[in-house]
Amino acid sequence: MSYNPNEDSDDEEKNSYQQYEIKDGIIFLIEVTPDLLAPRKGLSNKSKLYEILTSINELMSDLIITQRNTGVGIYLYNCELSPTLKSMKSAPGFNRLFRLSFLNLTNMKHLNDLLSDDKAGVRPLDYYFKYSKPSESENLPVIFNKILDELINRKEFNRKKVIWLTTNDEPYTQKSTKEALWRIINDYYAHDFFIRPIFLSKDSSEFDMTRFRDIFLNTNYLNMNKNETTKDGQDPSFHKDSSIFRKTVVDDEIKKSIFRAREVRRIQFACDIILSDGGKVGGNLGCSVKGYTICSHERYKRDLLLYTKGETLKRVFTDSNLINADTNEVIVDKEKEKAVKDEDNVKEIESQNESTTCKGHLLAGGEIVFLKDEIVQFMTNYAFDHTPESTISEKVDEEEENEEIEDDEGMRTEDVTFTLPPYLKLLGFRSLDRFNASYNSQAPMFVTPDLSDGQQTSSTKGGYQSSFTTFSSLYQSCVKLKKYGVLFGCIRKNAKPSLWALYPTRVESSSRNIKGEYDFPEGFLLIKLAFLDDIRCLPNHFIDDKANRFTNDEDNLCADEEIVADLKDLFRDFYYESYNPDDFPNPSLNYFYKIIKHELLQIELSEEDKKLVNNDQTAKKLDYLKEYIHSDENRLNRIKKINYRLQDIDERAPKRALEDDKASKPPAKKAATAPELDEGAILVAWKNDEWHQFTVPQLRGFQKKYKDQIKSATKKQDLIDNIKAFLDSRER
Amino acid sequence: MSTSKELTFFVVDLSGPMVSRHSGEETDLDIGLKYYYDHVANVLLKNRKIDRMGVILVHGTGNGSEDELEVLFDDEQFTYETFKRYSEKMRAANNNYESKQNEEGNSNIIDATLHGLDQFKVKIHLKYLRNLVVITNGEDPLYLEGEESLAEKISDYTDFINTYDIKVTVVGVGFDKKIKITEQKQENVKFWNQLMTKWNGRVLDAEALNRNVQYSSALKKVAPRALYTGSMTFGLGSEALSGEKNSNINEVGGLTLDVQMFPATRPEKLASGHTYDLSEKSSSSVKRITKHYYKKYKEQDDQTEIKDEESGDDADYEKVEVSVGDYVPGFKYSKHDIIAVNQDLAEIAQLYSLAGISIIGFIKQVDFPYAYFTDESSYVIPSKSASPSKMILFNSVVKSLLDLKSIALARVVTGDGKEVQLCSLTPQLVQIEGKYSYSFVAIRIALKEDQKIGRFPYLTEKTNSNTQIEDNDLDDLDEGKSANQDDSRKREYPSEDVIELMDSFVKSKDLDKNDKGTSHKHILANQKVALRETEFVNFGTTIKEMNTDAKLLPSNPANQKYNTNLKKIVIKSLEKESLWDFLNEDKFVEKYLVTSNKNKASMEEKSTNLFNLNNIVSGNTVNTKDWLSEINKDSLLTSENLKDSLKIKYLLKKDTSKRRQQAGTAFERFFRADGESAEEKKPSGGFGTFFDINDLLGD
Repeated sequence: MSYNPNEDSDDEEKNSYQQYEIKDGIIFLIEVTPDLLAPRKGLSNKSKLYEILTSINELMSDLIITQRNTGVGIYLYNCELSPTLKSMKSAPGFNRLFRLSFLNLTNMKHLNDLLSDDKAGVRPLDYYFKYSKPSESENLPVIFNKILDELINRKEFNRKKVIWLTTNDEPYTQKSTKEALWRIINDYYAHDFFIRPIFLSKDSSEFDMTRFRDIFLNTNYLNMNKNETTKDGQDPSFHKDSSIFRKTVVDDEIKKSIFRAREVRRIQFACDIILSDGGKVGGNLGCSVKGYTICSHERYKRDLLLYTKGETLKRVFTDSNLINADTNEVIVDKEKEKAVKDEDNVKEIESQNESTTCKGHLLAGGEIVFLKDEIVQFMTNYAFDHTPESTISEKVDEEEENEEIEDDEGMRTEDVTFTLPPYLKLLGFRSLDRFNASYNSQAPMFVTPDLSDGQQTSSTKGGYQSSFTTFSSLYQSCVKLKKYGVLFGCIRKNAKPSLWALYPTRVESSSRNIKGEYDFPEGFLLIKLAFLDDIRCLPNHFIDDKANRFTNDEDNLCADEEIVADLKDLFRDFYYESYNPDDFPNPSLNYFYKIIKHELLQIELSEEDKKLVNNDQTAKKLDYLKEYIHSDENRLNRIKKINYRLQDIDERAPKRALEDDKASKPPAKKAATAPELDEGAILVAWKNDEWHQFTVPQLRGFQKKYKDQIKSATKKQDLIDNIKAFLDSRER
Repeated sequence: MSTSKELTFFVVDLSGPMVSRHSGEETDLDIGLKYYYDHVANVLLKNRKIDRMGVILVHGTGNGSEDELEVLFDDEQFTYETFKRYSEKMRAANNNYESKQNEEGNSNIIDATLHGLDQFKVKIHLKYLRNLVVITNGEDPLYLEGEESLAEKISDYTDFINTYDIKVTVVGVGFDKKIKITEQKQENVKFWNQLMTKWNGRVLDAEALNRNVQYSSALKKVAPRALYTGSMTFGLGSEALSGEKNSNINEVGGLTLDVQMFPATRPEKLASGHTYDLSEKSSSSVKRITKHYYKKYKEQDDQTEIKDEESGDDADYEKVEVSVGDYVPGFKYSKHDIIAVNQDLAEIAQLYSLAGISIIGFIKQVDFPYAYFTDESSYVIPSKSASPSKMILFNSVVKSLLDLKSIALARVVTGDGKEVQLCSLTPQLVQIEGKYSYSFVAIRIALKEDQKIGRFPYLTEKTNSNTQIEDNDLDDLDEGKSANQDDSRKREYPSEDVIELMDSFVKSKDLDKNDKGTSHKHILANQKVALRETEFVNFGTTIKEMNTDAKLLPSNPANQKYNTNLKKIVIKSLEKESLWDFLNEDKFVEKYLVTSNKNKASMEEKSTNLFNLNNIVSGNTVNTKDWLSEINKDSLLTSENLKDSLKIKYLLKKDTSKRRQQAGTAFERFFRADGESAEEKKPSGGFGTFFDINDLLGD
């Protein structure tokens, strides 16, 4: 292991999980029926199809921001061919709007245009989508086979699913069709493709699910493949109690159902929670868990570089080599390394490289304390000892293993006396009302039991049996007793340890409480707690302001009771019952995407479209709030009253304090700013290689002028180097 | 402005009693110098050109003549080489007991101390954090030259010390000893204590200090830098933020507070160091050089399209190097729509809003889930120049929200044109010297696009059977996982008995036990929040008793471990000729870092490189020794019972190589030749070693 200066262990820890990007391919398969095309009252006289397509349209605009590597395709059957559709050439009436492919502007615009034409009354949707009666020969197997081909051919997606929307509860009548469908659906599962039917409710009669159950519930499949399934530890078939077969989707739920397609579980880590310590049990009471992302800040990534000087845009790649700063010799050359790898000498070369570079610390005076890998490993050993009182004191140092035992069923188990990272170790429990979240440092993760008991986790050597049961009882006890757990540990192999709060969901400060919406799933939040080192100090002007302090038993003169009372009355009218992030799209992010989209499509944006309030839900909220205050005399007067009282306070305040205040303000000291540099001055300096006369702000000013071409830097010398590099490149 | 430049003098007593080996192993000097070494190692590793350090050696005892004092000070950066030179002298004295044992007389350590203080006078006009550390065991009678004039002298220095805020510390070897202490020593300890009271300094017992140094780190104050300075408003509309002209900001219909925002949490990383090349018999630093190029394909197949990094990488191409300035950042709107984002476009694409904090509403604290906190927190306090009324308004707003047990939600833009964020503002009381000040803590919260949660299994039977109430909330059953035979056993809900046992387990591990303090949900009280300046010289905390909140706020044991070992290496290297050879020694870890426990029978002295319940919360805390392991004792029996009733065993994984062969679909398995593994067939198979592939593919 050689040390890479650009990788702190904190960053390194994330990489292993991020190397793998989820690329979802979602096919929407829609059966066109007269019912689907009929206008509906509940949908403001639009059809179900309109609702479905609008939802897909919105889903796509959402996904382009959050998961642009998702693919979407829309296919329809029992639908007449029309100019906007393309035939699938396999069964009559089986057409596509667009094929399954990565989200892109062409497809998004295509769909969006159709919908806005309908909305604007230019051309209604049923101009393009007409019902065509299915043939007697029952084409469903053909259609599903074709879709299967579509999925298999799309190698760029690593998870694929079909969402089958229908209002028809009689998809087939013949037994042969049933058998064919049943077999095809098994094929989907064999490929790990997932089909999710969405049954849209009918007005006329109950939706009869028998036929769907027959083709989806493959009990025979289970029996036939008994051995297979147990070995693989998973079987992708439906459960007979699945709620899908219990309910249909009514009109106003269509959108919600379609939006569930984007729900993806993003795994962050998998490890064991060790609950016990010492005594006879040591570390043997525990459970294996997995952690998932709940929230993470979405931001646009300028993730590639483009060469703009050629006829076409070309992607710019980078190669980086490590060189010896004294001799300028290349230490690690990627090119060579690659070449050697081809010759199958990988190991030898790698070990050579490892031994020549290592981490070190520069001491005052120039001596270097370099740390060989074994030393670094010792210093960053984060193993946890569950039996510190036992006599084996240097367990890990001597690389001793926990004792391995073969149990009656021939399974290999062991006695847990210590654990190597990753792990989470329970320290104890505290009352929920003692949790102070003030020193937050990152988004909490969601922790759920590992249903495979750690048997499929690569970072651990095994896991605890009965993890689900243990975890479930831990959750229930914590909810009942209003407790949260305090843990210590590293959630990834190379991560630094932290203290964590294991805070149950669906309790105070841990529920969504949004009417008509799902709460968080049952489980725990894993909230990172701060160490003393991570806490920053307040500025001294605040710490030294003795007048602004009070004790509990003294009169509190720092706040004004009258104002406090008025504020409390005022604030009462501005409460949220719950916070729903869905109400607040990220204004900056969405605006960026909007501009880029218009730029790509070469469409002008109106001034109105660029206004802050029209792009920022939070700014809009401010206007509502202001309006609401002004709509009620009492509220407005209360605010005025507070402001008058404040004026009064300022007037009564001892003059001296105010003057002091003014005096203490540093005089507007703007050091005589050196004049801005023009190109001439820079060129002269470049010719003579004389840069010392310039100040950093001057250089930075010049760099800013050519932001795109000159990299900024924090050190003066770097800045000069960058400017020189720029000029050198210009000369050529 | 606080300064962080440091000027430190050590006054080291090298008298006969200091260097006599009565206990056989270590002299009092050895014990006393441990703190000195630790401090010096810190200075060397910090490697700051502005810090200065000097040593005053007090040789033997005598009549107070000047040559008894040896001042070692170079007005330049204190280097490793200087360190070796100074240490050489001290070691010589330490091994020189023979010549000193017959010396008799008074110690001139007081004189040396005053002489040490004189050293500051040279640079008194400069801004420094000044420290004077006196290391002595106080065995010899103090040489008090004409008692009265000395008292006068001392009071002269008292003014000097106060004016220039010099921190004087006496590290006394054996000062805490209760038995076998000479009358002389008792008198001296008393003298030092009195003197330090006068000088506002401290007397510390060397051994206690050494223990403290091992477990604690300096409390560092990073100069707070305002993230935002400006107004916080309630009831003003958005036009004031849009940057348009003629917007009237001074409205009566709203409230305006003057605030500043400062970082509250910023995780501290391990000392990062640098990478060095050790190829020759020297170590030189390593640079990373990055070259930019584009690919010029030999087959000019499709010029217009930008190749995906995934595809066509094997095609024949040549690298054409590109110079800085010939490329700009690009943005991938979708896989197929790529655009160059030059400076102009980047500016246009930025939603422009003026800086400001604007409250959009309030919510009860219990109604806002912690799950939506997404970032590092910040303090929001009244700005430095706030008028008295603004101060009162700020405090009153915080107080009313504290009373209402609520938090404010606010739109936050920290600079003109910067990203629009939503933050929660939680009212908090900051504890400063036993009193309280009002403040807010701001944490960024999740917006629509930030939500990433998926669907998970139910943990309670009740919820599971009520799925219909919860709409068609699908768990992973529907997503096609884990419906196999094992499943029923694995998803077994706990019995009443098990839950009861778990209840008593949770109760037995109560960390709040014996903590009589009230709820601290709204109080920020710790050693850092109200720290005035860095405590470079860490004397441990003066707090006698800590509540659970404080006990659970130790310094990071991983950083501690790293730094302690690093310092250990630096100090050990002193005795060696060459640092290079020393670090290249075989079995370095075993020889120099692993502490042998052979001679230490008692549990508490046992040192280990592993974490355990006792050592993870010991840094910079008080009364945490054995705290967690004591609490744990009450849960031992329940743990045992729980383990048995849940039938828990730690199960090792099956041989993974076998499993891999099974991977792939039935179809693929059928066509795969015997002995061929899934890896070879599927290029993507390699993921399995990094993640739980089923998790990613399965649902």
